[in-house]
Amino acid sequence: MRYWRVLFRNLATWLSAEMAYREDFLAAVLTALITTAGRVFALWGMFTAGVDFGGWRFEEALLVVGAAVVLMGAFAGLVEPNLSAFSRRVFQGTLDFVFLKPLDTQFLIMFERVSLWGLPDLVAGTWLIVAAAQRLGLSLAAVLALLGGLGCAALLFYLLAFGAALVAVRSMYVSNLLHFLAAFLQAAQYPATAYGRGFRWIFTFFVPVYWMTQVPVEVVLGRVSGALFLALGFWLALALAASRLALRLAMRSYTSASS
Amino acid sequence: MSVVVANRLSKMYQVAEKEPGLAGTLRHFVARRYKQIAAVREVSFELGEGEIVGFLGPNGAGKTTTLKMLTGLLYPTSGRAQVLGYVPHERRSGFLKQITLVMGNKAQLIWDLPVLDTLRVNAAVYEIPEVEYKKRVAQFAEMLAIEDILTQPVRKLSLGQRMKAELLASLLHHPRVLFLDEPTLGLDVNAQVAVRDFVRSYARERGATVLLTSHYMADIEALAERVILIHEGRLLFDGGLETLLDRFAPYKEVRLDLAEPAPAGAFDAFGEGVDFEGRSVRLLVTKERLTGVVAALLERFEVRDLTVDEPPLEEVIGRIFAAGAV
Repeated sequence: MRYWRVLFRNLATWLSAEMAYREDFLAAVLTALITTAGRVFALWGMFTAGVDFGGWRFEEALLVVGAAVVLMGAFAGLVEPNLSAFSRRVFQGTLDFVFLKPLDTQFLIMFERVSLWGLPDLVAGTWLIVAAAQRLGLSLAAVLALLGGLGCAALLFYLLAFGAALVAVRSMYVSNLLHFLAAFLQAAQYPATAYGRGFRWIFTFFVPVYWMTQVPVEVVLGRVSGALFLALGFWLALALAASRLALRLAMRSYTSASS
Repeated sequence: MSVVVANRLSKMYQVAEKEPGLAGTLRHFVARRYKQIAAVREVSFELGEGEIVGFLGPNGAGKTTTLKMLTGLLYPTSGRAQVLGYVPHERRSGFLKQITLVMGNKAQLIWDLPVLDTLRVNAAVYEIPEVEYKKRVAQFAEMLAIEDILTQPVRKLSLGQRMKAELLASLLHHPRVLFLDEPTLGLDVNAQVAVRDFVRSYARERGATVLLTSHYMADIEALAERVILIHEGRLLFDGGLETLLDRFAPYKEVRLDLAEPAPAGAFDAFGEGVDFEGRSVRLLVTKERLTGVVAALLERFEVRDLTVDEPPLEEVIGRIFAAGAV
């Protein structure tokens, strides 16, 4: 209960901070509208030009685009602000205040902030999913299952990003890492079959882009077994355990910025 | 029973060594060299319940590192730390709920938002009920005289107001042990006094134990009866403040701003450690001779300004070394 209360308080506090700058939010809405329209137009262009997506119909591929846009919203709204803040705290020495709080440190680092910049993408992505699902005749339960799967996928991506940030923070700027991760989300907006065999292998096993957008979509489309959701859960549990271990090791060698 | 125990506490840091310039950078890129720095060396002391202790030492002496080991932020390289019966670096919730660390050069307040927003987050973290939260905020804000600024964005506050608000945020959960690292750093005299008064009142009311570092002797004199002196990571002195000052700083620093330049050597008879530059003069005068020397100086020279102060802490510590003490 305490964690929910702190999560709510943190999110409300940082939303207040974000809303102090109205122009920023309007810019985010406009950016999301333009980029989402661009993505749909590009996909439509590829289909009308006869690009083969390995048997995917336009509406089915649109579900993958929608899923990727939802993840981009989660990235801009949660991952980017928290990991950037984490990096700043390390260099400024204010991470000490996080370590001194009587709550789980990983929770405090991962869910301290939220940015309104992610909201337009979350809305636009959900709208794309709902619109594509309607044209495909999918049920409400299928849409909810897809959104649930995307929630797990977003958490998986966040845990991987958190682990990478822990490793990277002492030797490079986390902002570079965030650009790198954002590029992979761009790759997740098309079905893996749109890429060559080498990239497909990378996106499946090396960077789990395939698991984050395509697996949830393929499960609700009935193309693959629902058991793959369990595999996603397995990846999630593994990533959680690995990130907690990485944090524990990082804290042992923490030196705190000099005062 | 001791509330804070440091038993032969040591901390070694590994620091990269790099020569300047492009050649140095390239060498550092190919083959990194590190050296071990002993920040704290086998420091031992104990603090009792309700005790306020000054922790003194020049920059780089190991004060902050010791504080960070006692708050669990750093793992000791060797030795044992214990606070309220807990091992700090295990960072148990029961331990973290009962301590606080205030750092004069670092802020936990949210920059773009009013102070109250940070306080609300802290109230949720420490599970302070709403009624109790409001009571504590009202009480502390009144003690610190910052009732009017709680709804202002932190970025709009002065340094003194920010530090008072930091104290409020750090003590909202009623910690039993306070680690204060330079809480008056950069503050004007009035703000320094307000911070000292607040810490003294809080400690007295709640029986809290306080370990305070400061470069300002006035902080230590106002709050602490006992001081621990540390230099180059080693504990040099642990005892009463009066003992320390009587033994190692039985003099005052006198500064003069003269209307006309005076000949060299004109002040040698008035005190020791004479520092003479143009019209500015600085000298150390024993406390017994102070009144007579000041009167004589005013009589013999045309003085535009005269100040009498405690000698800098670094100088006191330097004398401790010169005396081969402890």
